Amino acid sequence: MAEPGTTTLSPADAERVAALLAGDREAFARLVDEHHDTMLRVARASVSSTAVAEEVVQETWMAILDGLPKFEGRSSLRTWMFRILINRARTRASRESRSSPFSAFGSDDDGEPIDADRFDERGYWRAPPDRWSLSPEQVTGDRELLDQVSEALHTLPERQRTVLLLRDVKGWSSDEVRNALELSETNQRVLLHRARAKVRAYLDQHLQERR
Amino acid sequence: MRFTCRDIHDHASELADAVADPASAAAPPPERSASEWDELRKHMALCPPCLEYVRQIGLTIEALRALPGEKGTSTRAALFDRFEAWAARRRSGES
Repeated sequence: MAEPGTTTLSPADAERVAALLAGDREAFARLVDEHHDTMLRVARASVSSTAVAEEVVQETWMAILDGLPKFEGRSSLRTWMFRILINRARTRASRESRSSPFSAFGSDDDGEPIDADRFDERGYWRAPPDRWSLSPEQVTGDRELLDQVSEALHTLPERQRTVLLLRDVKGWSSDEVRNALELSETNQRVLLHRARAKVRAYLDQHLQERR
Repeated sequence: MRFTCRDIHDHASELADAVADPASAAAPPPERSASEWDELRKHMALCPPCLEYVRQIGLTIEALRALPGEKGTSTRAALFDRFEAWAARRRSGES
Protein backbone atom coordinates (compact mmCIF):
# COMPACT_ATOMS: atom_id res chain seq x y z
CA MET A 1 0.00 0.00 0.00
CA ALA A 2 1.33 3.47 -0.78
CA GLU A 3 2.30 5.83 2.02
CA PRO A 4 -0.13 8.70 2.67
CA GLY A 5 0.54 11.53 0.31
CA THR A 6 2.15 9.39 -2.35
CA THR A 7 0.57 8.31 -5.59
CA THR A 8 1.05 5.15 -7.62
CA LEU A 9 -1.41 6.00 -10.38
CA SER A 10 -0.26 4.04 -13.41
CA PRO A 11 -0.41 5.64 -16.86
CA ALA A 12 -3.17 3.16 -17.82
CA ASP A 13 -5.25 4.04 -14.76
CA ALA A 14 -4.64 7.78 -15.28
CA GLU A 15 -5.86 7.51 -18.87
CA ARG A 16 -8.90 5.50 -17.82
CA VAL A 17 -9.86 7.90 -15.04
CA ALA A 18 -9.52 10.88 -17.37
CA ALA A 19 -11.75 9.20 -19.97
CA LEU A 20 -14.41 8.37 -17.39
CA LEU A 21 -14.39 11.90 -15.99
CA ALA A 22 -14.85 13.19 -19.54
CA GLY A 23 -18.02 11.06 -19.80
CA ASP A 24 -16.57 8.49 -22.22
CA ARG A 25 -19.23 5.77 -22.40
CA GLU A 26 -16.86 3.30 -24.12
CA ALA A 27 -14.34 3.62 -21.29
CA PHE A 28 -17.12 2.90 -18.81
CA ALA A 29 -18.29 -0.10 -20.86
CA ARG A 30 -14.77 -1.55 -20.84
CA LEU A 31 -14.53 -1.13 -17.08
CA VAL A 32 -17.92 -2.81 -16.61
CA ASP A 33 -16.95 -5.68 -18.93
CA GLU A 34 -13.75 -6.19 -17.02
CA HIS A 35 -15.07 -6.10 -13.47
CA HIS A 36 -18.86 -6.37 -13.21
CA ASP A 37 -19.06 -10.18 -13.02
CA THR A 38 -16.23 -10.42 -10.51
CA MET A 39 -17.88 -7.72 -8.41
CA LEU A 40 -21.07 -9.78 -8.43
CA ARG A 41 -19.22 -12.87 -7.27
CA VAL A 42 -17.40 -10.98 -4.54
CA ALA A 43 -20.58 -9.28 -3.30
CA ARG A 44 -22.40 -12.61 -3.42
CA ALA A 45 -19.79 -14.01 -1.00
CA SER A 46 -21.08 -11.60 1.66
CA VAL A 47 -24.81 -11.20 1.14
CA SER A 48 -27.73 -13.60 1.19
CA SER A 49 -28.84 -13.66 -2.46
CA THR A 50 -27.82 -12.84 -6.01
CA ALA A 51 -30.52 -10.15 -6.11
CA VAL A 52 -29.04 -8.36 -3.10
CA ALA A 53 -25.53 -8.75 -4.57
CA GLU A 54 -26.76 -7.08 -7.76
CA GLU A 55 -28.15 -4.15 -5.77
CA VAL A 56 -24.84 -3.81 -3.93
CA VAL A 57 -22.91 -3.85 -7.21
CA GLN A 58 -25.21 -1.27 -8.82
CA GLU A 59 -24.79 1.01 -5.78
CA THR A 60 -21.05 0.43 -5.90
CA TRP A 61 -20.79 1.54 -9.52
CA MET A 62 -22.52 4.77 -8.62
CA ALA A 63 -20.25 5.24 -5.59
CA ILE A 64 -17.22 4.64 -7.83
CA LEU A 65 -18.37 7.30 -10.30
CA ASP A 66 -19.19 9.76 -7.53
CA GLY A 67 -15.81 9.13 -5.88
CA LEU A 68 -13.79 9.23 -9.08
CA PRO A 69 -13.01 12.99 -9.06
CA LYS A 70 -11.34 12.46 -5.65
CA PHE A 71 -9.47 9.26 -6.62
CA GLU A 72 -5.82 9.93 -5.77
CA GLY A 73 -4.20 6.78 -7.08
CA ARG A 74 -2.85 5.58 -3.73
CA SER A 75 -3.75 2.11 -4.93
CA SER A 76 -4.64 0.77 -8.36
CA LEU A 77 -8.03 1.75 -9.73
CA ARG A 78 -9.39 -1.80 -9.39
CA THR A 79 -8.11 -2.17 -5.81
CA TRP A 80 -9.88 1.08 -4.91
CA MET A 81 -13.06 -0.07 -6.68
CA PHE A 82 -13.10 -3.40 -4.87
CA ARG A 83 -12.51 -1.73 -1.51
CA ILE A 84 -15.65 0.32 -2.09
CA LEU A 85 -17.51 -2.84 -3.10
CA ILE A 86 -16.35 -4.87 -0.11
CA ASN A 87 -17.22 -2.11 2.37
CA ARG A 88 -20.69 -1.81 0.86
CA ALA A 89 -21.22 -5.58 0.79
CA ARG A 90 -20.15 -5.89 4.41
CA THR A 91 -22.42 -3.04 5.48
CA ARG A 92 -25.33 -4.71 3.69
CA ALA A 93 -24.44 -8.09 5.17
CA SER A 94 -24.35 -6.75 8.71
CA ARG A 95 -27.76 -5.10 8.12
CA GLU A 96 -29.07 -8.43 6.82
CA SER A 97 -27.71 -10.37 9.78
CA ARG A 98 -29.40 -7.95 12.19
CA SER A 99 -32.75 -8.31 10.45
CA SER A 100 -32.58 -12.07 9.93
CA PRO A 101 -32.65 -14.71 12.68
CA PHE A 102 -30.07 -16.72 10.72
CA SER A 103 -26.80 -15.34 9.49
CA ALA A 104 -26.46 -15.90 5.75
CA PHE A 105 -22.76 -16.63 6.02
CA GLY A 106 -20.68 -18.75 8.34
CA SER A 107 -18.00 -17.62 10.74
CA ASP A 108 -14.80 -17.02 8.87
CA ASP A 109 -11.97 -18.90 10.44
CA ASP A 110 -13.17 -21.94 12.26
CA GLY A 111 -9.63 -22.40 13.58
CA GLU A 112 -9.90 -26.16 13.06
CA PRO A 113 -6.77 -27.69 11.59
CA ILE A 114 -7.53 -29.08 8.13
CA ASP A 115 -7.07 -32.85 7.62
CA ALA A 116 -5.60 -33.22 11.14
CA ASP A 117 -6.74 -36.84 11.42
CA ARG A 118 -4.85 -37.81 8.27
CA PHE A 119 -1.49 -37.56 10.06
CA ASP A 120 0.02 -39.65 12.83
CA GLU A 121 1.49 -38.14 15.99
CA ARG A 122 4.91 -37.82 14.26
CA GLY A 123 3.39 -35.78 11.41
CA TYR A 124 3.50 -38.45 8.69
CA TRP A 125 0.59 -39.53 6.51
CA ARG A 126 -1.78 -41.94 8.23
CA ALA A 127 -4.25 -41.60 5.34
CA PRO A 128 -2.32 -40.50 2.24
CA PRO A 129 -4.32 -38.93 -0.58
CA ASP A 130 -5.72 -41.27 -3.25
CA ARG A 131 -4.20 -40.58 -6.62
CA TRP A 132 -6.19 -38.37 -9.00
CA SER A 133 -5.72 -39.82 -12.50
CA LEU A 134 -6.43 -36.49 -14.13
CA SER A 135 -4.37 -34.11 -16.21
CA PRO A 136 -4.88 -30.31 -15.96
CA GLU A 137 -6.66 -30.45 -19.36
CA GLN A 138 -9.04 -33.14 -18.12
CA VAL A 139 -9.83 -31.08 -15.02
CA THR A 140 -10.52 -27.85 -16.88
CA GLY A 141 -12.56 -29.64 -19.57
CA ASP A 142 -14.76 -31.58 -17.13
CA ARG A 143 -18.03 -29.63 -16.81
CA GLU A 144 -19.27 -31.77 -13.94
CA LEU A 145 -16.05 -31.26 -12.00
CA LEU A 146 -16.18 -27.50 -12.53
CA ASP A 147 -19.75 -27.51 -11.22
CA GLN A 148 -18.44 -29.22 -8.09
CA VAL A 149 -15.77 -26.54 -7.73
CA SER A 150 -18.44 -23.89 -8.03
CA GLU A 151 -20.51 -25.63 -5.36
CA ALA A 152 -17.47 -25.94 -3.12
CA LEU A 153 -16.84 -22.20 -3.43
CA HIS A 154 -20.29 -21.50 -2.04
CA THR A 155 -19.58 -23.59 1.07
CA LEU A 156 -16.60 -21.45 2.07
CA PRO A 157 -16.74 -18.72 4.70
CA GLU A 158 -16.91 -15.21 3.27
CA ARG A 159 -13.29 -14.09 3.54
CA GLN A 160 -11.88 -17.43 2.35
CA ARG A 161 -14.22 -17.33 -0.64
CA THR A 162 -13.35 -13.74 -1.50
CA VAL A 163 -9.59 -14.36 -1.30
CA LEU A 164 -9.93 -17.51 -3.43
CA LEU A 165 -12.09 -15.72 -6.00
CA LEU A 166 -9.67 -12.86 -6.44
CA ARG A 167 -6.44 -14.90 -6.31
CA ASP A 168 -7.35 -18.05 -8.21
CA VAL A 169 -10.49 -17.34 -10.21
CA LYS A 170 -9.48 -13.82 -11.28
CA GLY A 171 -5.70 -14.13 -11.02
CA TRP A 172 -5.03 -11.09 -8.82
CA SER A 173 -1.62 -10.82 -7.16
CA SER A 174 -1.21 -11.39 -3.45
CA ASP A 175 -0.47 -7.66 -2.89
CA GLU A 176 -3.60 -6.55 -4.73
CA VAL A 177 -5.79 -8.90 -2.70
CA ARG A 178 -4.19 -7.80 0.57
CA ASN A 179 -4.76 -4.16 -0.30
CA ALA A 180 -8.34 -4.59 -1.48
CA LEU A 181 -9.37 -6.67 1.53
CA GLU A 182 -7.04 -4.91 4.01
CA LEU A 183 -5.47 -8.17 5.14
CA SER A 184 -2.01 -8.88 6.45
CA GLU A 185 0.28 -11.06 4.32
CA THR A 186 -0.01 -13.92 6.83
CA ASN A 187 -3.77 -13.64 7.07
CA GLN A 188 -4.15 -13.69 3.31
CA ARG A 189 -1.95 -16.77 2.97
CA VAL A 190 -3.83 -18.63 5.72
CA LEU A 191 -7.21 -17.81 4.16
CA LEU A 192 -5.98 -18.90 0.72
CA HIS A 193 -4.45 -22.12 2.05
CA ARG A 194 -7.61 -23.07 3.95
CA ALA A 195 -9.86 -22.24 1.02
CA ARG A 196 -7.79 -24.22 -1.51
CA ALA A 197 -7.54 -27.19 0.87
CA LYS A 198 -11.31 -27.22 1.41
CA VAL A 199 -12.08 -27.06 -2.31
CA ARG A 200 -9.55 -29.87 -2.92
CA ALA A 201 -11.23 -31.99 -0.22
CA TYR A 202 -14.64 -31.34 -1.78
CA LEU A 203 -13.35 -32.43 -5.18
CA ASP A 204 -11.64 -35.46 -3.69
CA GLN A 205 -14.93 -36.61 -2.19
CA HIS A 206 -16.67 -36.13 -5.52
CA LEU A 207 -13.97 -38.08 -7.39
CA GLN A 208 -14.20 -40.93 -4.88
CA GLU A 209 -17.97 -41.12 -5.45
CA ARG A 210 -17.37 -41.26 -9.22
CA ARG A 211 -14.97 -44.22 -8.94
CA MET B 1 14.36 -35.18 6.81
CA ARG B 2 13.66 -32.27 9.10
CA PHE B 3 10.16 -31.53 7.82
CA THR B 4 7.23 -33.89 8.10
CA CYS B 5 4.39 -34.62 5.69
CA ARG B 6 2.21 -32.42 7.87
CA ASP B 7 4.54 -29.49 7.17
CA ILE B 8 4.26 -30.14 3.43
CA HIS B 9 0.47 -30.22 3.75
CA ASP B 10 0.52 -26.90 5.62
CA HIS B 11 2.67 -25.31 2.88
CA ALA B 12 0.92 -27.05 -0.03
CA SER B 13 -0.58 -23.81 -1.30
CA GLU B 14 2.80 -22.08 -1.62
CA LEU B 15 4.41 -25.26 -2.97
CA ALA B 16 1.71 -25.61 -5.65
CA ASP B 17 2.29 -21.96 -6.65
CA ALA B 18 6.01 -22.65 -6.86
CA VAL B 19 5.45 -25.71 -9.07
CA ALA B 20 3.12 -23.72 -11.34
CA ASP B 21 5.47 -20.75 -11.55
CA PRO B 22 9.07 -21.91 -11.20
CA ALA B 23 10.26 -18.31 -11.53
CA SER B 24 8.70 -17.55 -8.13
CA ALA B 25 9.86 -20.83 -6.57
CA ALA B 26 13.09 -19.36 -5.29
CA ALA B 27 11.26 -17.01 -2.91
CA PRO B 28 10.35 -18.73 0.36
CA PRO B 29 7.20 -17.80 2.32
CA PRO B 30 8.01 -15.02 4.84
CA GLU B 31 8.16 -17.32 7.88
CA ARG B 32 10.64 -19.71 6.24
CA SER B 33 14.33 -19.24 5.49
CA ALA B 34 15.71 -20.12 2.06
CA SER B 35 17.27 -23.31 3.43
CA GLU B 36 14.01 -24.38 5.11
CA TRP B 37 12.16 -23.74 1.86
CA ASP B 38 14.69 -25.87 -0.02
CA GLU B 39 14.19 -28.67 2.50
CA LEU B 40 10.42 -28.48 2.17
CA ARG B 41 10.70 -28.71 -1.61
CA LYS B 42 13.12 -31.64 -1.35
CA HIS B 43 10.73 -33.50 0.97
CA MET B 44 7.89 -32.91 -1.48
CA ALA B 45 9.94 -34.20 -4.42
CA LEU B 46 10.96 -37.38 -2.59
CA CYS B 47 7.66 -38.23 -0.87
CA PRO B 48 5.02 -39.58 -3.32
CA PRO B 49 1.95 -38.86 -1.11
CA CYS B 50 3.13 -35.28 -0.48
CA LEU B 51 3.88 -34.80 -4.17
CA GLU B 52 0.38 -36.09 -5.01
CA TYR B 53 -1.25 -33.80 -2.44
CA VAL B 54 0.55 -30.72 -3.82
CA ARG B 55 -0.35 -31.83 -7.37
CA GLN B 56 -4.01 -32.02 -6.32
CA ILE B 57 -3.87 -28.50 -4.89
CA GLY B 58 -2.39 -27.44 -8.24
CA LEU B 59 -5.22 -29.14 -10.15
CA THR B 60 -7.73 -27.46 -7.83
CA ILE B 61 -6.21 -24.07 -8.75
CA GLU B 62 -6.44 -24.98 -12.46
CA ALA B 63 -10.13 -25.83 -12.01
CA LEU B 64 -10.78 -22.55 -10.19
CA ARG B 65 -9.14 -20.63 -13.04
CA ALA B 66 -11.39 -22.41 -15.54
CA LEU B 67 -14.67 -21.43 -13.84
CA PRO B 68 -17.04 -19.50 -16.10
CA GLY B 69 -18.03 -15.98 -15.06
CA GLU B 70 -21.14 -15.30 -13.00
CA LYS B 71 -23.79 -13.42 -14.93
CA GLY B 72 -26.29 -11.23 -13.16
CA THR B 73 -29.85 -10.85 -14.30
CA SER B 74 -29.87 -7.07 -14.22
CA THR B 75 -29.44 -5.42 -17.58
CA ARG B 76 -26.36 -3.39 -18.15
CA ALA B 77 -28.49 -0.88 -19.97
CA ALA B 78 -29.68 0.47 -16.61
CA LEU B 79 -26.08 0.90 -15.54
CA PHE B 80 -25.21 2.78 -18.70
CA ASP B 81 -28.26 5.02 -18.29
CA ARG B 82 -27.01 5.89 -14.83
CA PHE B 83 -23.56 6.58 -16.25
CA GLU B 84 -25.03 8.93 -18.85
CA ALA B 85 -27.00 10.75 -16.15
CA TRP B 86 -23.85 11.03 -14.00
CA ALA B 87 -21.83 12.34 -16.97
CA ALA B 88 -24.57 14.85 -17.80
CA ARG B 89 -24.61 16.07 -14.19
CA ARG B 90 -20.85 16.53 -14.34
CA ARG B 91 -21.08 18.44 -17.64
CA SER B 92 -23.76 20.76 -16.30
CA GLY B 93 -21.76 21.26 -13.10
CA GLU B 94 -18.70 22.18 -15.11
CA SER B 95 -20.43 24.57 -17.43
